[in-house]
Amino acid sequence: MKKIIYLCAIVLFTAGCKKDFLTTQKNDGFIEGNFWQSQDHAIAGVNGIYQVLTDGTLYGESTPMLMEDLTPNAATNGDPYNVQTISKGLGTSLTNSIFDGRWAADYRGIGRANDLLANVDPIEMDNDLKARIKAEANYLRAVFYFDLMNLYGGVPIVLGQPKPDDQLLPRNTREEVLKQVLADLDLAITVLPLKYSGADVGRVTKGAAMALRARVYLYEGNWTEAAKNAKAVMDLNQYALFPDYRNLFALKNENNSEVLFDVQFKYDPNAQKTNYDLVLERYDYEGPTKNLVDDYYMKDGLPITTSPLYNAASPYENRDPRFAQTIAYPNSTFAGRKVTLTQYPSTGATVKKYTIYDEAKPAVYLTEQQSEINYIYMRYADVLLMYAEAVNEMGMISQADADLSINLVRQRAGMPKITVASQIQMRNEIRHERRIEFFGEGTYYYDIRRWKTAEVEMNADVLDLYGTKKYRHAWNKSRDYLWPIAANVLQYSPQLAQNPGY
Amino acid sequence: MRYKFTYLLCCLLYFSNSLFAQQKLVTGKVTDAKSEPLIGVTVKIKNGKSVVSTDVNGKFSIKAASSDILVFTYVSFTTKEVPVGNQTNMAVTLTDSYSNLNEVVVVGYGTQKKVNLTGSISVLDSAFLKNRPITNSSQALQGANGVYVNQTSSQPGADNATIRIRGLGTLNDNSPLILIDGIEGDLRDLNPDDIASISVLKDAASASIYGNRAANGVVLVSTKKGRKGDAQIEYSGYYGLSTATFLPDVVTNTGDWLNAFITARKNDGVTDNAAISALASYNSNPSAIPNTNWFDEVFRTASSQNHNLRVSGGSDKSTYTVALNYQDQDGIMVGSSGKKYSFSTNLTNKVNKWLDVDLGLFGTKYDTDESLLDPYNMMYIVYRALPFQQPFVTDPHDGVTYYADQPYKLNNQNVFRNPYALATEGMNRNTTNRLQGNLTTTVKLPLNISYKLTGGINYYNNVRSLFAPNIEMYNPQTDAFSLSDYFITSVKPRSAARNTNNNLNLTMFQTLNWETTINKDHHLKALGGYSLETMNTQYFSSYIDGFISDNLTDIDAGSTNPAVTGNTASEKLQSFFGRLNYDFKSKYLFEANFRYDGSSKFAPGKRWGFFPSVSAGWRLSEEDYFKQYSWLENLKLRASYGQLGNQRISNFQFANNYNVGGYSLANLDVPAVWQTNYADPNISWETTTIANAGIESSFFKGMLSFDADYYVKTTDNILQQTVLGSIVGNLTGPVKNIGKVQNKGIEITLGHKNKIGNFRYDVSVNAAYNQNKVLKLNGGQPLITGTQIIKEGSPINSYYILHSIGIFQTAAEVAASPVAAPGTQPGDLKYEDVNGDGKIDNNDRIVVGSSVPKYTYGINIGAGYGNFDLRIFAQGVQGVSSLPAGILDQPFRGGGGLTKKWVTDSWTPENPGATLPRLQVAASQSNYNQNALSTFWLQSGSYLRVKNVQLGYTLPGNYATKIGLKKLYVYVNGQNLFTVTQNKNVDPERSITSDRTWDYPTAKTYSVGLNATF
Repeated sequence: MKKIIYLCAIVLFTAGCKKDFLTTQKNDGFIEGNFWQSQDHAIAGVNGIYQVLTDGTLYGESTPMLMEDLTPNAATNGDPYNVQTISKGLGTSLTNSIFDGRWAADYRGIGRANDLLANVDPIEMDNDLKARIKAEANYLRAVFYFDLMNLYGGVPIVLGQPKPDDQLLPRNTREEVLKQVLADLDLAITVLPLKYSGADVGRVTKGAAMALRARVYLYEGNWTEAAKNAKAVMDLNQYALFPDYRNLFALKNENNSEVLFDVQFKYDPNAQKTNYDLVLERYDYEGPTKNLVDDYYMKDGLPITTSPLYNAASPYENRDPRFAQTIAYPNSTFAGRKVTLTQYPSTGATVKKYTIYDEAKPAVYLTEQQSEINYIYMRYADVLLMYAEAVNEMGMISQADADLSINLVRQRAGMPKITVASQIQMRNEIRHERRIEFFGEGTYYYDIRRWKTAEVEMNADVLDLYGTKKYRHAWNKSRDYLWPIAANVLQYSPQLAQNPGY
Repeated sequence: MRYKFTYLLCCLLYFSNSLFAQQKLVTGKVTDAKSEPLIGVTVKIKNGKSVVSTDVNGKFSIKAASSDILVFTYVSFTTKEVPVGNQTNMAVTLTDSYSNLNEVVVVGYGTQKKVNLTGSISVLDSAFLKNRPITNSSQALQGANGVYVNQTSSQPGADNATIRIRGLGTLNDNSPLILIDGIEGDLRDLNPDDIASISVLKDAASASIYGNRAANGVVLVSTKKGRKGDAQIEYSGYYGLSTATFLPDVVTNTGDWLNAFITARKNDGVTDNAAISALASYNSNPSAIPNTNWFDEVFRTASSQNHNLRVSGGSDKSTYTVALNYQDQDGIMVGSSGKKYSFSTNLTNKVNKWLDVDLGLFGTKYDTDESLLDPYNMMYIVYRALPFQQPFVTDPHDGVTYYADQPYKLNNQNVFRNPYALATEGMNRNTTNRLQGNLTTTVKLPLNISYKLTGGINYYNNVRSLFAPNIEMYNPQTDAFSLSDYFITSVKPRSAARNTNNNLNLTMFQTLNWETTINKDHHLKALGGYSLETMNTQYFSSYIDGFISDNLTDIDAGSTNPAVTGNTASEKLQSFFGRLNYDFKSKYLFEANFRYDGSSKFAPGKRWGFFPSVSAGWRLSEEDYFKQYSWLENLKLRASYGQLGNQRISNFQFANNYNVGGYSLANLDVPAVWQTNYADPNISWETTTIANAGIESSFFKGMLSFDADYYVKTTDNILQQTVLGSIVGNLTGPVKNIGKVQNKGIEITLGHKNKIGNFRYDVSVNAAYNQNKVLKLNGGQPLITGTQIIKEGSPINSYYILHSIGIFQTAAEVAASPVAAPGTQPGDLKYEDVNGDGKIDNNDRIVVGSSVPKYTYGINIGAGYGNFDLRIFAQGVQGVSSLPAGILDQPFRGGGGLTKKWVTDSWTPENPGATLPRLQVAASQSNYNQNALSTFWLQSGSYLRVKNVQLGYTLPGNYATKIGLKKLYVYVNGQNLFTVTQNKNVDPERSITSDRTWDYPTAKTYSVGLNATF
């Protein structure tokens, strides 16, 4: 009996000593070495770069709308992402918030693109697909660097797989970043397909990359290249304006003919979604200013100051149809009820674009980030207006060029054609058209910065619809054309030179 | 057959013997060591029925036979058995059990005589633990010397206290290892009544036998075992009423609130027309708008009850104890409650001469109900509710009462969620089942060696069932109904979720023990062992929405957006350990331990760590020289030195991880994978080295006692999550072995007990001083997370914030000073330009305060008179700070209101002496002067709290017998009755490292209870 016990004891003492007892398996994700092994990995890897676009500081949540608060177009009630603070000229490196978050999100995208580009080559897979995936990564990396360049100026260029020493890199010049953006876009354009079918719809196309190249040149004031690239997109014959401006931004019309590239959202309890519905109608974080509302033309194409159609007693009637399609104003019907005078304390009105609400149907509210409408990063109307602007800046635009660009946009909106009279008249019309057409899409902030009109437009009182002053915008022209490098960034990268004035 | 017959015969003989034995009257007197009479001592005939108790003179009389044995029992005295023999008048002296030098305490993988301990161990015995109406076993540790126990919440099921032994050593989880009968367990699920004793192993010598997870100390809990003797039935129970300890003093008058809000908005440069018109309408008809104190609406006086039933007994061969527990507790917040059912069994069995088999098994089912929102978000909703909002309103058309919507919408808070509705509506039921068991086989081998094999299982299963109904709110102003949302992204109205966890921990350890005495004086003990532990976790969750009613709550009744998540993980530990004890005449004591541990948390080649320790003790009181001093009962010096390990980091931190997430294309979800962290593959064990020196002494037969310990605890190669600049792909930084932290401290316990006539008392004061310092870090690079910093030379997690130097009084003063933001005005906080560069920015932050308490202390007072006894326990901390700057700490923060202090004591030109800056809406960080976190917001977290007061009465034995009981004890108890603190908005006894103030509050509880033995 005792012998048996001894034996048992020895067996038990040694039983667990197997060498691999301590080796465990990770079942809910990959670890390095078992990722970047197959075609499916490469596809999932490039999808991971797209995913960064949904970040709340880039194109997720309602950030493009919040960017309107940095312009004369909109006023905010609270201070989401500190946009009110920034618009009052009070932003500092300590503000962190969007200054910090947007920088981090852009570099997150760059890091994922770099990781893919560094690891995809050895994978045995369809070579055409591999080339396309790399081109997608190139395009997306260009999107992130372009964003950094616009907001911060020159930033450190990282192109290899992320490594800790990268945080000690100095800032590259703005020109070097620009060169990198164009190099990535050039690569992408040569490889990317014109369009996708089935489950790949939503990936970046050749046209989208060309249009971004047009935007890059436009922002640089390189009118020739901007016009050339915009025209090249138009000549692809892939895109057309969607007939219905109001529903261009509706869930049911996603991926329509006007969309060149959009950030795709889908309801899933665990993914990042948008929240225009919540931030606008429910939270009333922001609303359109009097300055913007007054800038919508009457439907005869004349401003309210000169049009005979304007009646101060019913100021919202007979306006550019895009007015009622974009703005829920007092006494109009929105979300199934009449908008009262006190419903939107922010400015007296709210914005319809990108919300899920219908005019007539009563609203079913969603909470934070449950909306799944795609944000359109590049649409055909922008290509047309970029073309018009670039051509006009090269010398006065011809009526023919105006008719195949800006007048198409106006026509779709239900507004009369513009007759070309002078370069200055057309410059004003094109700029006005951009402001109205793209309100709520976050475009105008970049426009007033590149036009250098911010220093005028942004030193003014912010008025609600009734002319009551909410607060005052401020723009220091020797400082505010660039954002500060956030204190949170400098903490780990103290070698980065701060932008002037901060 | 023959045996049976003999047995029967014996029984008969015994029976007849007791029947016919000559009974006589035995009288006597029971006194203590000082010949003072003891009143109420139970005197009973062993294995018989007669029980009497002593009178006021300590005298008793009982009928007994010469062959009987009388048993004398008395609270806190050692039970004594005296054979009757031919005595008819006895003089019995009972000794105080506190001075029992033969006390045995539980140590790692065994027991040790308390006097022979060479390590630093705090022991809580059953006398200290019994009859305390606590809801969670973790609270039982309160009162142990050198142990800081912090109960942060009284939420049913979530009232586990934080336990810290000797300060914060690591930057990781600082919780000690909790072992219940040798198996890692959760105190929440252990019935407090099942605890027999608790040993807290504080130094390396005591704990290093548990090397791998012992760096933060080890808590050994032993459960009650059966006892030889007749079956004993014991019932204990209590009923209690609880209220919140601390709730903020908010402005509840709508007019005052609106005035303050308008002022704050004006100070922000905004004319708030909506608020101005709301004030006008309030002033015109104040009775139409409510003035709600939401804390009164949402918090209540809650009742709880607890019942224990225990049966125990045994023979020479086997013992048993079986217990049942039922606890029913209402939370102090409406909508929260918990019900706990548990059983426990301990069986010991001597199978034969060489084999013992013991089984311990306990199971708990814990059902809790709480608000749909987690406590953090639920409390946030309560904190941001405003006075003009109210819980209910009646629709004048039909006279039906509905949840009220807010009468108007103001700029700072656009969406109202009715806290009462969110606290009570819907379902959030958490059902937890735990089964923990251990089976131990002990085999006696030749040469005085014994072999022990223990197998332990700890199974945990939990199901959280959520259903969110539609919450309809009525707005009497607009006569409209609207649907409330649930504030957080994951909960949609009419959605359901089921989340389950299944965790299984398996432990196996084997030990060989050898014990021998050489030449009578040399006593040697050796232990060697091997253990394997596996911890498996499994998680699964499901979600669905699209319900068409509020009545069907199952997943099957939903229709849209079904979603699932799930994962499994496994952690493993493999260890070899050993211990050697040697003592000479119990005078010179020596002990050595080692543990060699392997962990799955590290890369192959980095997995194993070796943790040795040595300790020695010298009992001076055993030396001949000291024996002449009869007043000296015990004097011992001891010292220890050793190492412990820590590996509490997430799995797979040694490799770059790629997370599987999602993106969508063409309105379909597609898989998306991305790198999440940058790893350091070379990470390995974090090592804690503890040097400890101590003295233990007692004088005048235990009347005075003094214990002290000095320790230096150095944790090296601390495993810490580091941060990378976002340029590095915005990746999470690597977990690295980066630093060295030292805790130096002293622990002192002073005890005194005495008896004067019928009055007895004892006082014990323990105090611990701990100094925490970061010695080395990451190549000198400080680690900053939010407002806290870990920096060489400073205490761990010090605050790193701007230095506030008062409030700007004039525009001229503002103009002449560096400011943090343009737009600074009189009434804003003024900061020190620490680096003198004419700017206030992040470079002007200073290191200040600490989130680790410097001093912790406890006071235990006991007193008794006759059958009455009183116990008071108080605890306190000193030298700790917190930085509360959230909702209600700052005015209008996060859409919330403000406390009354902000109305009376904030800066205005008319009130320049105010202690608070001018009112602003803190949500809009438009002015950094007020919102940048600075020393202005720092406050002391020190407190002294009377944790427990209990007055009890033991019914004299003869009265108890008359009502059919062996013993009856009744008591009244109060917990958290009284607190001294500077904190105003929040209970000071809360998570020490958190600056958040809106947690589910702790409770003040009054209870009555009884303990009866049949």
